[in-house]
Amino acid sequence: MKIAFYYGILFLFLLVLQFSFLNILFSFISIPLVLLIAGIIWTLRLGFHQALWLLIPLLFFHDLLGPGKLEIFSVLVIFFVYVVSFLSRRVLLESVFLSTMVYSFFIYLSIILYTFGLGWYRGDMWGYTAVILSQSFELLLVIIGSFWFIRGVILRFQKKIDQLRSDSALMIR
Amino acid sequence: MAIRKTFLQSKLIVAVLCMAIFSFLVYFQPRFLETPVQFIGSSILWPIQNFFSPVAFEIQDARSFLSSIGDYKRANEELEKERMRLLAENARLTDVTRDNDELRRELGLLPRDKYNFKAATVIGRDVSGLGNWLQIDQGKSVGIESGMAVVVEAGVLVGTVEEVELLSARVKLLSNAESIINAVTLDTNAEGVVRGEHGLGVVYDMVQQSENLKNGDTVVTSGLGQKTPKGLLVGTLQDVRLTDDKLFQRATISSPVRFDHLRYVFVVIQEKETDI
Repeated sequence: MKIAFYYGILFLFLLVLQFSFLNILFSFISIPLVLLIAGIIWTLRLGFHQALWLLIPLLFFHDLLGPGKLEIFSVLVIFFVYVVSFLSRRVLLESVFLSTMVYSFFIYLSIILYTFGLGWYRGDMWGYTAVILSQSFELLLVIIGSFWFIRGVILRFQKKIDQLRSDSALMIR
Repeated sequence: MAIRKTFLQSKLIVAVLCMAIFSFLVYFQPRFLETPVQFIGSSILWPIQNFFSPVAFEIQDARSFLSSIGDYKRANEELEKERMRLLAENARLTDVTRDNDELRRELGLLPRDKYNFKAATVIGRDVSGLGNWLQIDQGKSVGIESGMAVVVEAGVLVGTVEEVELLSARVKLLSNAESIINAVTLDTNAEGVVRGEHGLGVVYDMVQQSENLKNGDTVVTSGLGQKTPKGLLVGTLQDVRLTDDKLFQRATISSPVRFDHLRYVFVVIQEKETDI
């Protein structure tokens, strides 16, 4: 119960961070950055299967509380997270700095890909992508900053949750 | 000894299954999921969003301020020139205002001060379609209903209320690809629809070829078949052209409002009683 409560708090924090902070400050980013970063961090920390158990409810809550309907972006997040899981088994990144840079660049590429797809779907293939590409530098800075911040938050929560898990396994009150 | 994975332990299979289920849900959009989650979620998020969004807006203001310090000297000189020009313009506009009142009466448009407004603060925003909706901090509790027009202080239409919760509401911006508003031009009385263009801008569309559409003409809402009152300013026309199928005329609308900088908006609750 306590663990579910902690995850609930984490989800609320991530959703508010997305809707009422990042979306207002950086409205040119056409992607819910927090979901993608959270998915990647959970995958790196907990593995693909466990990450899905956390990511899917977060995607549901995001789509239903935000746009009001389930969005195709959720499908793509699962794909991107799978790719990260695939890569993380094959590429060893021990340094936090290096991994932040590599995964931030991966997120940047994902955003370009998603924006390109969105443009193609809506009949204006280059219109959207041009907006994003013209602000690439700012976008990369935002991604690196957000990745670093969200990584810190999630790892702190995860540490607390791991401690609660071990306490309950050892029947410590 | 090699460990054999079962079918559901394979990451690829799980990923494909999850994507398939999500795709199915995205396609069919089951309504039974939405209502309880939205009601509970938005009620919990509302106070937190009310705290976070002003912080984000203040940071946005500070960022704009810092990035524009270097421009202030030049801006000051330009403002002085502008002031002189505006003094002359003001004299001319006094006369135009009188004409405008007369024209609005003739066209049957409501004066812009004849609406009942409910002020609201933006507490959330969507970016997944390039900023196409806003979340505001007023909802059913103050009489806001789906379909109501949302304007900024000068009576400029920015969107319509799409979904309403008890304490908050979601506003579909004009730039939303699904937004369609009936409108008319002031000079030539050409009827058409205002719709979002891929989330990036707004176009005036479906105008018959027999209508006279010209650059610089002002577009206002016509009030046909919607809760949007007539006479709300949408913007001015630019780049008049034929549609791809050559059946209708189309023009880009230049809105006086920047949709990505909206912080306070007003919901048009109802028109006041008027003798027009």
